[in-house]
Amino acid sequence: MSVDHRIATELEALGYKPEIVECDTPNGKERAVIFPYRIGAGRFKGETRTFGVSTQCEAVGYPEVPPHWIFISPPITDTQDGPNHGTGSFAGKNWVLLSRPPGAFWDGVRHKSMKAYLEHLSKVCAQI
Amino acid sequence: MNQDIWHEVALTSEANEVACNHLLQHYRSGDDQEDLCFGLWTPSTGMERETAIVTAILLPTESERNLHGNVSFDSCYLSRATRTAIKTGQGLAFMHSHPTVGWQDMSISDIQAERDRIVDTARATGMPLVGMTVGTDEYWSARVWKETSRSTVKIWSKKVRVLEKSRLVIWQRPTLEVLDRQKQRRTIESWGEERQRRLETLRVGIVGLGSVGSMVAEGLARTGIREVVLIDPDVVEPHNLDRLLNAYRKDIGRPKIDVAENAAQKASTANKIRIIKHQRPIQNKLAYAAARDCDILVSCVDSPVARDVMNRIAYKDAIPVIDGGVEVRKDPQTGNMNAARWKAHVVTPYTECLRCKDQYTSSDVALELDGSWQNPSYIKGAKPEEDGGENVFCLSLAVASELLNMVIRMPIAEKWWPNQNGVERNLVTGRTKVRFGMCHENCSINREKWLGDNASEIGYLTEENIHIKHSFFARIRKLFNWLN
Repeated sequence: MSVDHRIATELEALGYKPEIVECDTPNGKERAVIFPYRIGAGRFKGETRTFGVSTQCEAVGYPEVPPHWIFISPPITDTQDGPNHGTGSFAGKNWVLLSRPPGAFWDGVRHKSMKAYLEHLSKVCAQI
Repeated sequence: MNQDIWHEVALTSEANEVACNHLLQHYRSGDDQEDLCFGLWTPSTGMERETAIVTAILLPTESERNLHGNVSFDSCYLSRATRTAIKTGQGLAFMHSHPTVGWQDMSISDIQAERDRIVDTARATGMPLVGMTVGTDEYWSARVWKETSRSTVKIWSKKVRVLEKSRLVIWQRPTLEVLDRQKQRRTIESWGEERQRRLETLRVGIVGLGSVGSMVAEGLARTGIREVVLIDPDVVEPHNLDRLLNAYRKDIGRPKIDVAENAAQKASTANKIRIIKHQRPIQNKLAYAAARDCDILVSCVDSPVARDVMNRIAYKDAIPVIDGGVEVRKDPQTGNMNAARWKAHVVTPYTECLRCKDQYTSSDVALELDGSWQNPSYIKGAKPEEDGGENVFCLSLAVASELLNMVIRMPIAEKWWPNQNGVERNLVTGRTKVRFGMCHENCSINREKWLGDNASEIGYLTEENIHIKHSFFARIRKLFNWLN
């Protein structure tokens, strides 16, 4: 199973409705898995936005190697001023592309999957 | 059968201890009695070498073997061992003891036992039978019984490696080679002929031939190491000349491995040195396979991907990795150096892995794989060390010296020598820290130890040079610097 299908399947099992799309990134055309996500913490708490993870380059070693690009649509202003590639447009939407690698958190997780990744996503949302 | 492939056997410290305690129990108590047992092994395949990593010993019950000066086994014992090997997806090893010391040859009855009684049954595992004999001095000899189209042939293992906590014991098949020791007189006077011979059997891989790697290569050549594998995709650039040993202006544009090879050939004190070069990153499949042919790997890189590959090799293929690095911190206001430290550590399945030592994270690997690690546009919020590369000759020399000492210590160390793990020195404070740690309980690298070819695949290994992106970004950065 390809990485994007694997990620989509894991998200489906968690009750999300993922979609595999092709998008433009600073590294060229890449595939990403996008899904509506209700933000649980932070200044966007309660809002549902479309989130996406890029799966083509960095996720070749998934789940051992985690995705680090997070796409958010409609775009938000990143108050943390973290590494990003600004905004882009694909799949008929405008996006902001943030790089938020899960770092040592991921290496400490026993069962690496989208369930663990969503925990990371939740922490990112609490910060941005 | 590929004639270019050679065979070796490696034992874990635990397997060695259990096997020796069982096989030599009678000799140790004064009886002239051989013994036998079966073991399980996992394959680890490199480019030129196939290694059988013996990870477990299946001891016989009283009724499963008969002692009568010599020793024989009951067929139930062979069946039990074969079933266990099939169940665990491993190969079968047959081990027995001899009453003499050193490398052991085989008697006719030894050959008959292995070839005529065990080989056929062991075939059920899908892997060849490994035969091993231990002398009373715990010196192992080994062979692999390979199938050809016509018959089953015995291929002697060049050497047997026993990997202990911070020691690599090498038992080698004797050769009749006459060595000229003139150039190594002082070295041999220091640590003796036996230790020098152990060192000479090593194949050492150096990954990264920058400032540290070039010094390690020269050091190994002068020490008399006879087989060195050099892995580095880069060429010499003007900014390397203040630290890269043996590189001069005329070398700009030459592959770093060529510069290191020329220098090592000139510096070598061995009768003959064989240098195998790969101008590829270690995540390239060919370089990765060549690294798995080595007895020890020296990691002289600052790339998370390269460190991740070597970390996994250290654990799954039982090839010790000696890793080191230099870190220079600068005052963000003045740009002056306010801290400089260098680290060196031994990585084996018995030590903390590089990831648990905080030498990289899998997220760093993700960043490097998509080109963000060295991407000048990936700057906002990037970690300070990401634009890194700051170093000076004396710091490279210091870390190269630590690495070289750790490489040499592994095969020459005696049982009573204390374990070594990691050391960190600080130029500014003058302090030295010694670090002994273990992997955290969820470490996925640790879970794959001794698995060899049975470990999960590294998803990002490439056929082609992954540094295309790096070079692209490096070119952009160069252009950017030039414009400024």
